[in-house]
Amino acid sequence: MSVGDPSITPVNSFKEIKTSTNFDWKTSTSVLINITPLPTLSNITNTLLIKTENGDVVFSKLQTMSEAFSGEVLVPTKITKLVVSFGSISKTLDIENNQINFNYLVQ
Amino acid sequence: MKNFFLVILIGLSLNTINAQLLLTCESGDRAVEQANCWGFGAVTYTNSSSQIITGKYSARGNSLTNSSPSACWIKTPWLKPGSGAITLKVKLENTSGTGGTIKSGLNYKAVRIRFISYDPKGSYGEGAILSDSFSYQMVSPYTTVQNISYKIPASIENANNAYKVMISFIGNGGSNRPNIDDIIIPGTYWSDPSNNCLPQKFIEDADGDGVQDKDDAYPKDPTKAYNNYFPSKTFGTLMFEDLWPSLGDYDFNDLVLGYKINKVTNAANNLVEIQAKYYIRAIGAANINGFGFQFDNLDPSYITEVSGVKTEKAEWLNLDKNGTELDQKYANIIVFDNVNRLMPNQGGSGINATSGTPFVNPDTAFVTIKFSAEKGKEIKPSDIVINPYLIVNQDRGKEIHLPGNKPSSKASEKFFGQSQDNSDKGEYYKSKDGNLPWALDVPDNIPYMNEREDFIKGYLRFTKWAESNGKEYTNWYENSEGNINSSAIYKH
Repeated sequence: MSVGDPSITPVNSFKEIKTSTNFDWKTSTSVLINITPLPTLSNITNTLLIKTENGDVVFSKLQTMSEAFSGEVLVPTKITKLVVSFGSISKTLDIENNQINFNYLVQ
Repeated sequence: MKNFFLVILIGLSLNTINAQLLLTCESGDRAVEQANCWGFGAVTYTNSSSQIITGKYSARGNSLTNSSPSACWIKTPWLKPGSGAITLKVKLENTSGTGGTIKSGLNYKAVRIRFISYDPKGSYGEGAILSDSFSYQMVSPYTTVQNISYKIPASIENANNAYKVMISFIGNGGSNRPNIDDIIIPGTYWSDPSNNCLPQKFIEDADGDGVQDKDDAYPKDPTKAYNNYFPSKTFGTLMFEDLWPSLGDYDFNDLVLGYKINKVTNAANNLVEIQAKYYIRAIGAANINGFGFQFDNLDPSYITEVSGVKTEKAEWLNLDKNGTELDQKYANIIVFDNVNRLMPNQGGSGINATSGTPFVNPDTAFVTIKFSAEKGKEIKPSDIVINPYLIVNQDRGKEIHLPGNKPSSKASEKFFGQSQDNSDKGEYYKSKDGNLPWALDVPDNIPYMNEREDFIKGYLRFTKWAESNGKEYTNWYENSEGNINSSAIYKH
């Protein structure tokens, strides 16, 4: 690490750190997953997977395409995208305002 | 013994009541039909009043100047044909390129209906096109709706195999587009949009819970289906300073725990049990501490059983028969009542806290918490908020939580506001100066500080992360270039 590296704050101890009072020190956050239903011609069910871009599964459930779903999952704050897959359907979505919105429509 | 369930049960019943596939375009968005496995080649939707046949939307093809059935077409999803006639409504937008015949190949417009068989080796599963087909030549007046009807051939009527119907729009000469609407196909929908729109197939589901065996973590147990781990691959790390309400030396190794939480759910996405693994990595404290966690806002009666905790008759510990701590508003699980008893000091300052001192193998608790399956008490995995805390030096009233987390009913308020603590102002477990924490939680298995090494000496970008309100350097704990000063880290 070079001297004067702007990524390092020049404080000598933890006690000197100054943060705003609303800082929560959390390294994980809840992300709201919204699944928009698709009217289908028959009852299509499969496993809905929420994954990181590295393929780590953070949530799984049985999902019916014609039904909506909304639920929160806990993910590290460093994660900016999540992958939603439903069988062969898969989309990578940006996390915006702590939520992602998924639909089954062909991109 | 294996049971076999069909993914699409409604499909079976529809077959017996003259089911049909319908394309009216009234969704207004072709993508909705494509998601249901309809296919379109040079065909879009239109809501132009001069082009609509019925309703608010119709389909519109490109100009019909090609005799190839692959130029402009609509394909149905896979279906099992029924009996009766395929019908549709078609008109042309003008009279250009008309007046001739299909036979002459000049100045005509026509509709062709063909059937595609299933072949698992074919592109999109499409195999041979059946020889039975139908052609209809548009007749004058061309701009008037023409009702086209074609009886499903006897060779595939009520067949048990899957077919697609391909409706092509062909022609020669001029510049003239077709408008199409109200396509009705007798048959049963047999595509699976979640499997590349291939024909539906039987799935193996040994326990009959609706989750196919290949996805079911418990394929022979209908009460459980999925594991939901946090962190998903690695272990998380909890680190405590135990001199609260005074500030400590901020090496954050007074207690270091690794953890992994698995929320086990059933096919209805209800929480069945939590499998929590906690292992003691380091004890850099003189105090004799304990550790537990609260399920925030969860009444203890929602829990039926707790097993796997490592407690042994601490005087302050009283458990209800379901294994949760007595006299708590919310469910509290005490995992360790005395971490030092589990990992005795083998010499040196602390246990696994000072590099070079004898290493003690970490002790692990595999805690299982079972939840009520009683009707009305179902809870979702996202309803569970785990609030971990350290119990200081066998004083049950002295809890140290992650910053911002509320204490349990057992916490004594007499400590709030003392020394550096700001809890009496509603800023739970944050310091008066600097908003500092006494505990940190990281969703990764990270190295911890050697005894008395300040945390920021080891994690070089932690301060930037904290002073940016958590916006910058969110990966400060990762072992990537420039993040960690290994000389401050504990090694054994």
